[in-house]
Amino acid sequence: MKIKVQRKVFSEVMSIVAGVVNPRHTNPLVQNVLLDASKSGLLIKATDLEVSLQYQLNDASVSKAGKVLLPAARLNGLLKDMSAETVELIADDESVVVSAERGKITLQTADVEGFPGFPEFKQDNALSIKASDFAKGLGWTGKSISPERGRYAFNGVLITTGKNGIEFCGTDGRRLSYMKVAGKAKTYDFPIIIPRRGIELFTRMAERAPDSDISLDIRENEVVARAGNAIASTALIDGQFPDYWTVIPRNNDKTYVARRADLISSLRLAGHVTSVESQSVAMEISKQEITFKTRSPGMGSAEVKLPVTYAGPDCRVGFDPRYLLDGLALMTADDVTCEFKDNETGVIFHEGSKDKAFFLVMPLDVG
Amino acid sequence: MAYKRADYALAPSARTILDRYDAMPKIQKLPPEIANKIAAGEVIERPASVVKELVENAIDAGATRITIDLEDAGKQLIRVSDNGSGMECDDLVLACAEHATSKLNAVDDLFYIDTMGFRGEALPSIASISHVRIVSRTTDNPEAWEITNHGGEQSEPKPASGAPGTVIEVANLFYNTPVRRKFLRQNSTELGRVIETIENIALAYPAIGFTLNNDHNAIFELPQKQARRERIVSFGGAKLSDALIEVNDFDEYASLTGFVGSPGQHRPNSKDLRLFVNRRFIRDRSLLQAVMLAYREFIPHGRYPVAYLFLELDPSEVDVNVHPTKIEVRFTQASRLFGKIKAAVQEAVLRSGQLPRLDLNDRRLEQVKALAGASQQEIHASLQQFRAPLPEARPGSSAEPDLELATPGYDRTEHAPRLLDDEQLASARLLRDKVSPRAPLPPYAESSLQASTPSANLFENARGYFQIGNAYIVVETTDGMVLIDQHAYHERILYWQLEHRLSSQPPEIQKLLVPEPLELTRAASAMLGEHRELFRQFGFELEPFGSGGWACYGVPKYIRTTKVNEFVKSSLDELAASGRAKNPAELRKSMVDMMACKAAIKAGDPLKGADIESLIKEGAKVPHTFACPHGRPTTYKLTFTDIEKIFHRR
Ligand SMILES: Nc1ncnc2c1ncn2[C@@H]1O[C@H](COP(=O)(O)OP(=O)(O)OP(=O)(O)O)[C@@H](O)[C@H]1O
Ligand SMILES: [Mg+2]
Repeated sequence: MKIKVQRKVFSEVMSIVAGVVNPRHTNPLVQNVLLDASKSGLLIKATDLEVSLQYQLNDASVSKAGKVLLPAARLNGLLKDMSAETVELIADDESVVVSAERGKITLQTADVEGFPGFPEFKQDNALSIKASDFAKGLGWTGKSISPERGRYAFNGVLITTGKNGIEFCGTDGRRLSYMKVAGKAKTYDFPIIIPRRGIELFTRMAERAPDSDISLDIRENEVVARAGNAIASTALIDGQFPDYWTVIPRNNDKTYVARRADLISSLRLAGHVTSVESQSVAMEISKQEITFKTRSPGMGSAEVKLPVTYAGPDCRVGFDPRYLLDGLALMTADDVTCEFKDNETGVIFHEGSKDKAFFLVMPLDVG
Repeated sequence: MAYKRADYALAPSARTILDRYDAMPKIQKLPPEIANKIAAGEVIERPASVVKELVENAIDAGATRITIDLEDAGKQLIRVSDNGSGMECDDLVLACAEHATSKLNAVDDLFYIDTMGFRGEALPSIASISHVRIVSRTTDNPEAWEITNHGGEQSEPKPASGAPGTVIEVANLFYNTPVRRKFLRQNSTELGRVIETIENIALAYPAIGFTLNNDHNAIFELPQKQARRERIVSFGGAKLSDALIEVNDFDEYASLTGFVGSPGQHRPNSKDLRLFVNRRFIRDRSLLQAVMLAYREFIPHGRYPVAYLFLELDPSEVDVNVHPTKIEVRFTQASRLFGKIKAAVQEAVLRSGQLPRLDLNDRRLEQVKALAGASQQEIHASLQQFRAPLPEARPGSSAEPDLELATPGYDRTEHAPRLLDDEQLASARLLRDKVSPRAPLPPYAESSLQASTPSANLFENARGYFQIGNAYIVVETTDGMVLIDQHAYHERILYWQLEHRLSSQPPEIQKLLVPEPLELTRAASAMLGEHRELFRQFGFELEPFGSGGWACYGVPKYIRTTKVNEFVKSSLDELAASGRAKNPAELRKSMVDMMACKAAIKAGDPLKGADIESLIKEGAKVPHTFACPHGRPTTYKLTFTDIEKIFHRR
């Protein structure tokens, strides 16, 4: 193999690859990245057997075709530390020489034999939406899922087809975020639940080609996505996702509108007097005003007032301020609408149109 | 007359002698109405029983020095010599008569016993089964008198020579009861019993000197006028000295004094757990239990603490006339004593805040080493486990890990090991290149710990710390170092916090979006019905669900669990195992126990400097962090002296 590539693009792709490869994987072979040079350019492949990425680098000039396996983390670091415009990779039987300008680094290669196979992207598109919308949906909902790399519904984002659009939903059972984006889909394949690793990979892939369309090829327990020059795949979670439409409160009869920035700063302020014992912020809503209250025994208390447009009866709901801050941080509008009912019912926040996106926070009951 | 004994305890022994000497009434035959009220029974089973009776008589006679000579572990000969009041000839003649005592006058005296003996039965029962010779002289008598008594056959008294005091020889024990003689064990066993008997008396009378010889070999010699602590150390060994915590608790009902061992001291049996009531060694299950309970959280299950506790109460509050050997007594207010002992011991241990220390002259060091090896495997195992499902880390995310305490300082999502990103790798490389390989690495993260926590804590002198093996924390202190087991230590902290916070305010309950049905057996469901309120107290909102089932509608905020099912199930198991016998307070305690264990940092969790610091800080708020709730030590202290020993600088 003998190729010349643009260092910057190569490096960018390799940093996505580094997110795919697990350098502590029990199978040392998959700690490597496969470089496959052919007439059509350089194909970069990596997997941790849960997610996989195949990236076609077109602007590589291949003077001699061939395949090599190189340690992914090392190659990634190397490219980062180089400053040249182009790098050249020349392989012999045992090693690859990576050279650019003054530097010349020889890396031992591993045997390509035994490197796992990669899923092919078939043409029957289960879904096709704009990559930027896809990334937005995953980003908005991915924040609410349970953190571990588990196999449960709460460990992933649900994608399904809804009335004129594709719906994204993530929850950890304590909060939930929902978003709907425009797109076409073949309904029978859905819903699917994408695990955290898949969310991250798909997001990064989509962000690299924001203007292209992303299409999905859904299999038994795997989904393959294509956007731009990349094909990525992830295992799917085979769990029972809660029927969110039945648990999202329908009759939150009270609403107020507040400035998002004010909400954030009030919550931050009140959050200074939370502790392990009392993590909750009480939101007390009265006419034209909400008061955020915190109290921690042995520490102190806080009371932050915020004028709002509200004319309903007094009400008090407690919750974990971090949930709110997470959601508010992902919003972009100036004003936020809050829909609530009582201290038993989830509180909904949205940026004007609940149909497009909202997040829901379950109350935190103080004894 | 309360505290009569206590007065003795404080007064110099001369006073005791005077008291005795002036006041010692003459020996009288007890009238039948008193004799019949005395707990009857054979008290002489073996040489040790003889020794006990004779030594107690010597003490009653106000002796300050008592010598016990044995031959053949007492099977051949037991000789007890004292420098006490001695007996006049008239009394000597009556000493071996049945129901003859100088210590009781009226029936009412039976309810006010302030002497070791009172039954007037010991000498006659000894004499009936052996060859007894008594030589006794009072101080103001120029000469001694002697009698012999062989199996009840008593000789006429005859003058003899001897120092003031009494010598009683008991030879050929059980010569006329071959069956009992056959039951005697080998000499070492019998000697052991004698030693134990004398120990128990000597501990209560540290001012009296004791000498024990067997076949002319000295077994021990305890000097007179020892302080109680010295006496305990005489038996327990010098190593115990540093590990004794003084107990002092007086009220109008009773005084409790003595010493207990620091939590690092524990034994496989209850031998070093000794209780004395009015200077009499006694066995009392309930009071022992009080001590055990006081230690429950400090020493491992199945081990026994060290305690030498001396209760002094008005003799009218204690009934010694329960058992012929007087080893069992009855108290007028047993439960009051129970509470008193438990509280006083617990308080003393907590107040001392003693860290277990490595005992360098001890075989246990080997054990510690062995242990270290074992836990290395454990660490390895948990490391493996830890690596498998790596929680993905996103700084600033409030995403909730599986099960952990939501302590801000320990937000594990923040410090879960994650792949270094490229920038970090680059800067690490930079750093590595800057630090020449020979240059000494900074030994630890400098601490910014505040040295002035109001409650004086173990770490007020902490100067720095670092983690080793992802399982332990080494803290440098002004006088050496302290090694912390991060899991056990955190568990102890959580345990305390849980108890503390649950008693100070109801837990915050995070409502769940979707109620989680619990997969329980029918029995467990029924059990849950019974204990629902208990779960509620811990922040679990459980409601009936479907037919006969349950679902969880809310979970405690302070403990982050996504495995509600597992948690509730194992709690119910625990309850089923122990629940029926436990009272609500104990149930609560075992719930706290379990929660603390499940939520604590595990061995294998890497900790950052800030985590360690907040751990130590949190620990400083907890009054007793030296043992985890299961009694395993959480901390080990190595002083510079210890370190010097390791390197033979001492
Ligand atoms: N070492 C001694 N010095 C002085 N007097 C003694 C000594 N030993 C025994 N006596 C006298 O002999 C009496 C009888 O002793 P004995 O041990 O049989 O009975 P006790 O001590 O009165 O009661 P108990 O049977 O409960 O021990 C004692 O009351 C005491 O007056
Ligand atoms: Mg006696």
